[in-house]
Amino acid sequence: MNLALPLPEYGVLGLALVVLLYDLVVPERVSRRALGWVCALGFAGVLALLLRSDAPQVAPVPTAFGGMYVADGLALAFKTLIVAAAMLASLASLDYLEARGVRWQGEYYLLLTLVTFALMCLVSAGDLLTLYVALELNSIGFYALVAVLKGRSLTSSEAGLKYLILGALSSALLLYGISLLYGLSGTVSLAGLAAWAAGAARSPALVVALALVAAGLAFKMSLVPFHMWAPDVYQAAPTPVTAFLSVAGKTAALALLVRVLDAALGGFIGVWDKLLMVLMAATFVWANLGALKQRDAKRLMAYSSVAQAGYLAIGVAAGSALGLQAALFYALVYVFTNVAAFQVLQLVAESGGPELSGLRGLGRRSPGLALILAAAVLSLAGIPPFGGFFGKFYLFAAGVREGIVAGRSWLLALVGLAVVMSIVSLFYYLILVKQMYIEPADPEAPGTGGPVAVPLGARLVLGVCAAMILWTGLYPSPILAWIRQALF
Amino acid sequence: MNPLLVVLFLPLATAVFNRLFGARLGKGAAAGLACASVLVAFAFAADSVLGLAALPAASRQVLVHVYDLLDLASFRVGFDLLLDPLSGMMILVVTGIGFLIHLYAVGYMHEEDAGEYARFFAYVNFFVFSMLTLVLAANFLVIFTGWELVGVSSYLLIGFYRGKTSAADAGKKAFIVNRVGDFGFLMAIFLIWNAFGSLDFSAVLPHAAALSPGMATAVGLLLFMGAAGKSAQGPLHVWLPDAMEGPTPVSALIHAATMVTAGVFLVARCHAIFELSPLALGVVAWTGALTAFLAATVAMVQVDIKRVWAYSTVSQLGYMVLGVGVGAYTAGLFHLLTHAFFKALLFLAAGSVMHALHGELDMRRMGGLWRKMPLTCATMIVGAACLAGVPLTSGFFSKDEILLMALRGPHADFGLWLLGYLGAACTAFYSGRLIFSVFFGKPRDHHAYEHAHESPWVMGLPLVLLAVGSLAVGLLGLPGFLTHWQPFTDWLAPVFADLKAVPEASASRALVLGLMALYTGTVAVLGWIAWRLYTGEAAAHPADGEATSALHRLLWNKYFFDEAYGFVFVRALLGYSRWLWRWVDQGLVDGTVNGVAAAAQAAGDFLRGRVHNGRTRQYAAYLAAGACLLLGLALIYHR
Amino acid sequence: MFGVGFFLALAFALFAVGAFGVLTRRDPLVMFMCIEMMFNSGNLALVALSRYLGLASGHALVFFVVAVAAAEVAVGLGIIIAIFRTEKDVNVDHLSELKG
Repeated sequence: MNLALPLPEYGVLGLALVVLLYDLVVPERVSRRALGWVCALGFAGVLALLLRSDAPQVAPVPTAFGGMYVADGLALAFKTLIVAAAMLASLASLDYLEARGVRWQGEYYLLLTLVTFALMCLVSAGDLLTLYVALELNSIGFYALVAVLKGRSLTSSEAGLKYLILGALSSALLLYGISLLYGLSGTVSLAGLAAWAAGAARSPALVVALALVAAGLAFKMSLVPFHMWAPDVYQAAPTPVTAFLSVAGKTAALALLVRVLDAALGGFIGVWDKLLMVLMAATFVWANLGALKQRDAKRLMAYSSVAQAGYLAIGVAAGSALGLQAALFYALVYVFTNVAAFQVLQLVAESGGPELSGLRGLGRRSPGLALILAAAVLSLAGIPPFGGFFGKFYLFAAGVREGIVAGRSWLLALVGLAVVMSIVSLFYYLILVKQMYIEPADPEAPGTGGPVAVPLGARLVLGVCAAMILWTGLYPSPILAWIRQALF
Repeated sequence: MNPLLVVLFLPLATAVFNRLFGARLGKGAAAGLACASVLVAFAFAADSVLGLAALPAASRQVLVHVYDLLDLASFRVGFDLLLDPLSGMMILVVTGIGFLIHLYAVGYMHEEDAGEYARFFAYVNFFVFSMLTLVLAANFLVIFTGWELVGVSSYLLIGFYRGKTSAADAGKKAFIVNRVGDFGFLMAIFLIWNAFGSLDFSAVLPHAAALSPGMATAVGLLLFMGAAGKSAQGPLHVWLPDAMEGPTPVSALIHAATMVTAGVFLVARCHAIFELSPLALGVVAWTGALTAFLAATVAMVQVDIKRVWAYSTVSQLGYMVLGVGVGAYTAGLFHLLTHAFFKALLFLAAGSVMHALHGELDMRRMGGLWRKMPLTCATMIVGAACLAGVPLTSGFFSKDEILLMALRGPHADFGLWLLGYLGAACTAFYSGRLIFSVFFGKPRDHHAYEHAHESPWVMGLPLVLLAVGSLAVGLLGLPGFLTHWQPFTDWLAPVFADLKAVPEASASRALVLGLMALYTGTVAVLGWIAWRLYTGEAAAHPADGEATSALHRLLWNKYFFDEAYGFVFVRALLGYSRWLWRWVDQGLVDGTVNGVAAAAQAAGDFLRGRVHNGRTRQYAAYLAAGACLLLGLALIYHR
Repeated sequence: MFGVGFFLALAFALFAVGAFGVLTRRDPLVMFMCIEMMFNSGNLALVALSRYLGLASGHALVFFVVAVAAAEVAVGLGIIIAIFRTEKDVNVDHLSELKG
C-alpha cells in the first residue's frame, strides 16, 4: 500500500490545518482577508504538484487504502480542474467577503478547503464507501457555504435550506440504491461492481437500484428535473461560491458519472443510457427555454450551467474514449469560462445590482470586463474561436459517431436536439451582450457612471480565465495532449 | 514564410491592434492601418495566385499546415490552408473588393468619433480575416470555423450603431437564422467524419464516390442547409433584408459581395458530393430558381433603396445557387465574381446617395439627382446595367451562361429556365425603377434635393474603380462562340476536372443567339416600362396603405385603355409582388421565425411562473417524479 | 425467524413513509426527520444484506452514513436557527423568495 499516493489531498488537508491555526492564533479584530491569499497560494502549490505528476499509463492503476482510493488519469485530470477552480474561488472571495463584512471568514476558507478536499476524494473514489462519504462531505460543506451570508441575506439562508433538504433527499435515494446494489453484487468496490456487472442477470431489484443511483447522480449533475435547486441556489449564494459550485461541483459530478456509470456499471449501459438520455433531452429543452426570460444575471447563468451539464453528459452517454476525452476538454473550458462570467457579474453587481440591466453600458464603462464576459458567453454558446466551440464540436462528434457506429439512434437524435437547443441558447447569451454593448446606460440608475472597480484578486482571476478561454480556442493541442495522456 | 499566412493573419493583427489601441491613434492612423493591411493582403494574395498560375494546371494545389488544431482519440484536424484556383479567385475578390470598400468607408464613416471609427475598422478587418479563413480552408473544421466567424463579424457589424435597438435585433436575427443553417452544416460534417474518418478535403472529396447514395443525399442536403442559411436562400433569407440596418459599406462587403456567397462557394467546393445525388442537386437548383424569381418580384415593390438591393442580392444569390444546382459550377462562380463587383458598386452608390441626402433611403422622396451627383449617377447606372443584364455588360454574360445551362446543362430543366428568365425580367424592371426614381424625373423632395451634394473623392474613387471592374470582369467569361479565350473557365478547370465536360457543346449557336436576343428584348421593354412609370408625374409610387387595392385600381386605371398592354401586366405583377412581400415574405416566413421565437419565450415564461415557483416541497415532488420516471424507463428498457 | 426479506420489506416501508413525509410536511424539522428515516431505511437494508452475505463492508458503510447524516442535520439546524432569528416562523412554503 502506497500511503504517499494521495499527496495532493494531503496538501489540501495541510492547507485546511493552516487556515484553522491562523484563525485560532490571529486576534479576533484582525481581518481574515489574508486567508484568501494563503488559500490561493496553497491551491496554486497543489495545482503545480498535480500538473507535474504524470498519469499512470499502464494497468493496474496505483491504489491506496485497500483500493478505496484510486490514482488514475481520470482522477488526476479532474483534480487538476477542481484545484484550479478552488484557487480562482479563493481569489474571487477576498474582496467579496471583505466588502460584506462577513465575520466568519476563517470558517469560510476552512469550508472551501475542506470541500475541495472532499471533491478530490470523490473523483478518486475506488469504492462506494469513499464515494458516498466524499459526496456527502462536499455537499454539507456547500450547504454551509451557500448560507454563509446568513443574517445579512435571508435569501442566502433560504437557498441553503432548500439545497440541504433537496440534497439530503437525493442522497437518501442514492443510499437506498447503493444498498440494493450491494445486496445484488456483494461488493462495495467499484472494480468489483464492474466485474459483477459484466455478467449479472437483470432483475427488478437491479432496475430499482439503477434508477435510484441515476437519480442521485443526476441531482449532483443538476440534470432536469433534478436541477430545481440550482437556479435558486446559484442566485442567492455568494457569487464566488456560486462560481465554485457551478464548476468544481459539476466537474466532480461528471467524474462521478464516468466512474459509476461508464466504469462500474458499464455492463448495464443499455439500461442507464436511456435514463441518462431522457434526462439530458429534458435538460436541453427546459434549461435553455427557462433561461430565455430571466432578469437576474446570476439566475440566467444558473440555467445556462444546467444546460452545460447536459452537454457534458453527452460524453458520458457516448461512453467512448473520444466521448470521455471530449467531456474532459469541455469541462476544462467550462471551468474557466464560467468562472470568468461569474467574476464579471460579481464585480458589476457591486455597483449595478444583480439585474441584467446592471450590465448596461458596460462596453463603454469597462471595455475589458465587457470583452471578457462577451468572450465567455460566446464560448459557452459554442462560437469559434473560443474553446467552447471545439469542446461542443468534439462532444457532438463523439455522440454522432457512437450513434452511427453502435446503432444507438437515440444518441443521434439527442445530439440533433442538443445542436438545436444550442441555437436557442444563443438567444439568451446575446441578451447579455446586447445589454453591455447596445443598450444605453440609464443615467439615473445608481452606480452606472464610471468604470467598474476591479481589485487585485479579481484581476488575477480574470487574467487566468481570459488566457485560458483564448488558449483553449486558439491553440488547444498541448491541452489535448495532456487530456490524451490522462484518458487514453 | 508562406505569403498565404500574411494574407490571412495581417488583417487579423490589424483588427486586434485597432480594437485595442485604435481609439488612441486617431482616425487617420486607424483607417490608414486598416486599409493598408487589406491592400498588402491583396498584394500577397495576388502574388500567391500568380505563383499558383505558374504551376502546371494539374498540380495547382498548395497546402499550408499552420498548426495542429484538434487531436483527440482518432480525431485529428489541423489548421490547414488550401490554395487552389477556387480559393485563389475568392481571396482576390475578398481582399480586392474588401480594399475598395475599406477606402470608401474612410469617407462614409467620417462622422463617427475616433473610438467608433477604430472599432468599425477593427470589425471589418476581422471580417476579412474570417472570410479568408473560410475560403482558404483545407478541411471541414476550418471552413466551419471561418463560417461561424463570418457570422460573428456580421453580427458585430450589423449591430454596429450603439443604441439602435432595431440594428441590434437585426444582428441577432442574422446570427441566429444563420445558426439554423449551421445546424445542417455541422451535422453534415459529423456524417462526413464518420464516413471517411477525416475532415480533410483531400481525403474526402476525391473519394466521395465511396458514399452510399442515401448518405450522399443526406450529406448534400445538410450541407445545402448550411449554404442556404449563409447565402440567404428561401426560406432562410429572412435575415438579409433586416441586415441592412448596418452601415452601408458593411452591406456592400458582407451582405452583397463576399459573405453571402459562401454558400455558393461551399456547394462548388463540395461538388463531388452533390454530383452523387440528383435529389440534392435538384433541391439546390429549385431553391435557387425559386429564390431568384420570388426575391426579384419582391424587390419590385420596395421603396427603401437599400432594401431593393437587399432583395436583389437574395435574388442574384438565387441565380448563383441555380447555376451550381444545375451543375454549371463555373457559370455560378462567374456570376459570383461579376455580382461581387456590381453589387458592391450598387450598395456603395446607394450609400453615396444616402450620404448626400443625410440618411434618406426612401426613393419616393428622391428624383432628379443626376444633376447633383453625376458621378454617383453614372456609376450606379453602370452597376444597374450589369445587374439588369444589359447586353455586353458582365452581368449579361454571367447570367446568360447560367440560364443557358439551366436550359441545356447536365441537369437542365425548362421550369428552372423559365423561373430564371422571369426573374431576369423583374430584375430589369426594378433596376430601372430604382435608377429612374432616384436620378431622373423631377425632384419630389425639394428641400433634400437642394442640400444634396456629390460625395468626397475617397468615396468616389472606389465607385469608379468598381464600375470599371464591373464592366471589365465580363471579358473574363465571354460566350464560347465568340472566342476561345476563356480565362475564367480555364482557370477553374482543374477544380472541376472530375466532372464530365459538357459545357456548351449541346447548345447550338442559334439557340444561344436567340436567347440573347430574347433577354435583350426583355430588358429593353421592361426598362422602357420602368422609364415611363417612374419618371413622369403620374407615376408616383403608391402609398403604403393602398397596396391591397392595387388589383382593384388596376381595372379602373387609365393605363388599362391608353397604355401598352405591358403596363397592365407590370401593374398586376406589382400588385402580386406587394402581396407576396407583405403576406408571404413578411407574414409567413418572417412570421414563422418570429413566431418560433415568441413560442420559446412563452414556454420560458411558463417555466418561470408556474413550474419554478420557489416552493421547496414542489421541487421535492419534481425530484420524486423524476425518480419514478427513471424507474419506469428502467423497467421498460432493462431487458 | 426473520429472514432478510423481512428486513428489506421493512426498509422499503421506512423509505416510502419517509419520502411521503418529505413531500407532505411543511416544517423543516419534520422534513429532516423524514429524510433521516429514508437514510435509515438504507442503513437497515445495508446491515441486513451485510449479515445475509456474511460480509463486513456493509456494516462499515452504515457507520459512516450515520455520522454523515448527523453532520448534515447539524448544518441544517444552524440554517434553520439563522432563519428563525429574522422570520420567527420556519415554514418551507413561506420560504419562496427565490423563484422563476
